[in-house]
Amino acid sequence: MPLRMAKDLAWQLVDGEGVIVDLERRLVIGLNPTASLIWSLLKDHDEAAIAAKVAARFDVAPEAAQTDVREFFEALKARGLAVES
Amino acid sequence: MPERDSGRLNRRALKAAQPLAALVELTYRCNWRCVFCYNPRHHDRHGLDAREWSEVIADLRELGTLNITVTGGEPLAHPEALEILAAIRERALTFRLFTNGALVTEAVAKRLFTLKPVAVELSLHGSTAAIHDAATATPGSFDAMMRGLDRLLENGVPVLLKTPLTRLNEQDLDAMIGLVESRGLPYTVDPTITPRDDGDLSPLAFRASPEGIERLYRRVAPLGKLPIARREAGGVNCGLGRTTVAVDPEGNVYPCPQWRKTALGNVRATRLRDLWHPSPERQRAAAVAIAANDRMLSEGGALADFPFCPAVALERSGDPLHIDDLTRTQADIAERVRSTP
Repeated sequence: MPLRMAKDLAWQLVDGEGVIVDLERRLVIGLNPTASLIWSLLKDHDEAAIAAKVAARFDVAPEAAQTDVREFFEALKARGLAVES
Repeated sequence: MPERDSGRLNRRALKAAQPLAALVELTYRCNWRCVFCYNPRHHDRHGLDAREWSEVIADLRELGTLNITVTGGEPLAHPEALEILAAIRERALTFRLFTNGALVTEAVAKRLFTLKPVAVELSLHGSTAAIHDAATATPGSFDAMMRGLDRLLENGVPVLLKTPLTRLNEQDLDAMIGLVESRGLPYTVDPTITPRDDGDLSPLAFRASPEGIERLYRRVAPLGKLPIARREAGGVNCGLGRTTVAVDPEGNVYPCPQWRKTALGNVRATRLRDLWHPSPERQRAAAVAIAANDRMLSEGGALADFPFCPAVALERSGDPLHIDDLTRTQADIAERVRSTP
């Protein structure tokens, strides 16, 4: 199921590093390089396409990239930062 | 997912000249006439409309901005202000709104709640209508501000009150603090008064006295809020030309909110996304931020770790590295308060 960012968020890449502002909970969250890439692709790509880009960018096996993306999706949903669209 | 290390991110943004913090002045229009206002006029000649602001916001997103401070004039006097704020949120950016509060109707407060600003910041010029209204030169402005404040709070909008400390209200500081504390609101007081953006120095006549500034510093010192700048050799004084950008109501672009001598360009002639990085004026301003850091460090003493604004220095003296008597006095006061609490 594709994800979309939750409504009351702001975010930006700072010199390539992701930062999310949760305006409802008033939290600022930093992302590591892999998470930053996944997050920045969330709007226009599905899980498989994102995993392919992660595998290419970080030179990891497609299966490992898919696991990383899936785990990150679950973390986003658990924290209310993204919802299924 | 760890919390952000803001210092590290700021250093990365400085290195990349990424304008993390933008200030947009929606309009020069204002329903008040604050005697020390830095705006050159209270009307727009050919102000940007919502479509044009939306393009500016899209370019800020692309350049790497995260937070936009929305001000004026009175920003809510722009006929499309709420549409422009919505455009900021649609681009997944944060905003702070500086308003005098008088135009905050119930409908505006409800809309602001849904837009989730980081804060709506209102200026408190005195604890009574007499003191406040003398500063704004607008009878009824204190009551209008308090009505707006109440509407914001009733609708759950985060609010910050702030006071520009001047000769008109410096004797009222304790009462203003008491008023804010009674409402349990966050509060900042700043003694910085700047010339008008057109170079007119007349607002400086309203600057707080050294005694007033010392009273302020002694109130904030126990809270750890004395002004301080942590400088290091080879560093920069501030985000001038790198992490800050400002756009005025008519689309002129500046390398920080205060730097108004020369615009980088105008968004009607060149898209903001295209003019920011290659601008020679931006690069000159960025070089000033390095020189200012060196200058303050070489001064040593109280000045070495006191905040300095090259843009204000440029406006006051024509030289962005000139340290004027007011800055020296404030640094000395801060040092004295720090050493003899």
